[in-house]
Amino acid sequence: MTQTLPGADLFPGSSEDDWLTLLIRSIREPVINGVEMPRLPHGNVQRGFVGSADEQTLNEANNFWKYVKKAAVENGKPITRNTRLLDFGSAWGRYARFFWRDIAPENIKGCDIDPEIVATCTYLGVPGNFSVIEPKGKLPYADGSMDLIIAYSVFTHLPENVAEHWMKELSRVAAPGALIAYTVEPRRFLTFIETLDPNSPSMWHALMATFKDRVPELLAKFDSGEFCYIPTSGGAYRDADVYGDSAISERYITQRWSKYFKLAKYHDEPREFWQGVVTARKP
Amino acid sequence: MPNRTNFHDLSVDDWYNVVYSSVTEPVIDGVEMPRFPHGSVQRGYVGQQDVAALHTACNFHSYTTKWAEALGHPLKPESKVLDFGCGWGRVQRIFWHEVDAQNLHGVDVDFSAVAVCRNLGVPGTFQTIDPLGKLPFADQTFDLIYGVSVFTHLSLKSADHWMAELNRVMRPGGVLAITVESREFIERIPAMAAQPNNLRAELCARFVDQVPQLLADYDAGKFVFMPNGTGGSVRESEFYGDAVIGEGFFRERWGSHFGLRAYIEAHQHVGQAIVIAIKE
Repeated sequence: MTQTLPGADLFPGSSEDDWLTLLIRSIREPVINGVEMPRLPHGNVQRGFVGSADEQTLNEANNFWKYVKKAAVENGKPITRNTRLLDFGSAWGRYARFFWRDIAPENIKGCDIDPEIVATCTYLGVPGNFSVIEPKGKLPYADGSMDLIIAYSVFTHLPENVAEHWMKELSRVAAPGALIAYTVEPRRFLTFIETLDPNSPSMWHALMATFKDRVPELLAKFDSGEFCYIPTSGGAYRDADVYGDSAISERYITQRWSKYFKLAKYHDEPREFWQGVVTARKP
Repeated sequence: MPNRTNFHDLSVDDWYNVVYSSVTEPVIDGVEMPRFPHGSVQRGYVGQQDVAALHTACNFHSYTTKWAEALGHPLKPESKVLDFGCGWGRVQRIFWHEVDAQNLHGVDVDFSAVAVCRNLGVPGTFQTIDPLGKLPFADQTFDLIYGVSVFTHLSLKSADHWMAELNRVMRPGGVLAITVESREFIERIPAMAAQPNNLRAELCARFVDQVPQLLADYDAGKFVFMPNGTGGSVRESEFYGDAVIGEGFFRERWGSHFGLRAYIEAHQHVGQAIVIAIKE
């Protein structure tokens, strides 16, 4: 079967930087030192989910992984093999394989609304347990059962009512003091839309460009602490009533979501991350 | 070498080497190759993984393409091909050598397998079918239909259903290539039952005492089926087990759908026997 131990146990003496190297090697080496590594989906599928593939996508993920690890230390709960992780919106398991370095697979959970990618995650042998969820459903986890929740490129795509639903549901499954790290589109995303070409070869860019005229209104909403959503939709399993592009301000998060997770940091640093990274803590 | 969009120009041996290389090289000559499921998943399907699993698939491809050609139906880029029971796309990717991706079609009863074929980027289209359902294709669509390790597991009821359905979607003169278990499988039951820590051994152990009767049934031209009740939720014992299909049985039972042209004891290369037949 697939692995049962944390990656660091299988590659004794390897550093965090070594882990990125090992994952990059796994693109071309399905078995490293006798360890059967998780496989990767086709490049088109990787890019369809995260905009990049193989080395590039692993390098990008490495930055967020390290950021979350540091945030966990700052939160007073460093990641260990016993940390119960939920990857909310796990897609093809890009992050699960990073967190696997430190966390035992039995403590890694992932979920996604796309049943095909959930099935694929399992078939690729990504360490962890992956479940299909409904776009406005419940999580298949007990109250207070997670120590760490990550949601990369998830709240960047949800309309307000759906985002509210999931923030509440994630709070339910988070243990007291648990850390959540999720990405949001910051204010600069809205001005970015203005620069887009409606004839762009990128379907996503072309779609967003059709909302150009709304940018001044969206900026005003953003600045007054409102939730900004454009219904771009996203293909199979992702209709516009549940999937598009949203921008969420620090003010919105503080005012509306503090009861679910108390904001630690709204990190909007374009040189580090394309999206903003929010860390917050379950009260 | 310049970037390419297909591999039609390669010799078949060069193509097999490209396929083997794709285990460790996701991009070859600028083409993004289909990826692979985890080794444990591959072993669950065929007891082999990566190059070994591909090698067996290439052997099946070799038998099938040679017979199709010998029967006057060489595969071309525009040939329409159906992989009946495509699994994770191990075999379908091999036929990309002769056939354009848009003409390769895979179906499976397992939603997860279909999903994984799509997400691995196996060339072609993939659809889920019901265990006793209809194929989502028009009458007389295909030039070649093959099924590897499918009729080795179907009950007679299920096999009857699918032979008729495959006949419907096959063009007149189209070629059927399916693997079957032959008499040799029954003979091997005691040896397989003796293997340690193996699901196959446990299943075979239940039939060891019946071997003389099973052989007698086989020699009398009967369909031999050993239901095992495994195979996951979509593969209930009603239609899933180990089936042994002799040449005589095929002719008599399904000869009206497909005229048998060859019954090949291909165990050494493919692990099973191969039936080659034609829709008259």
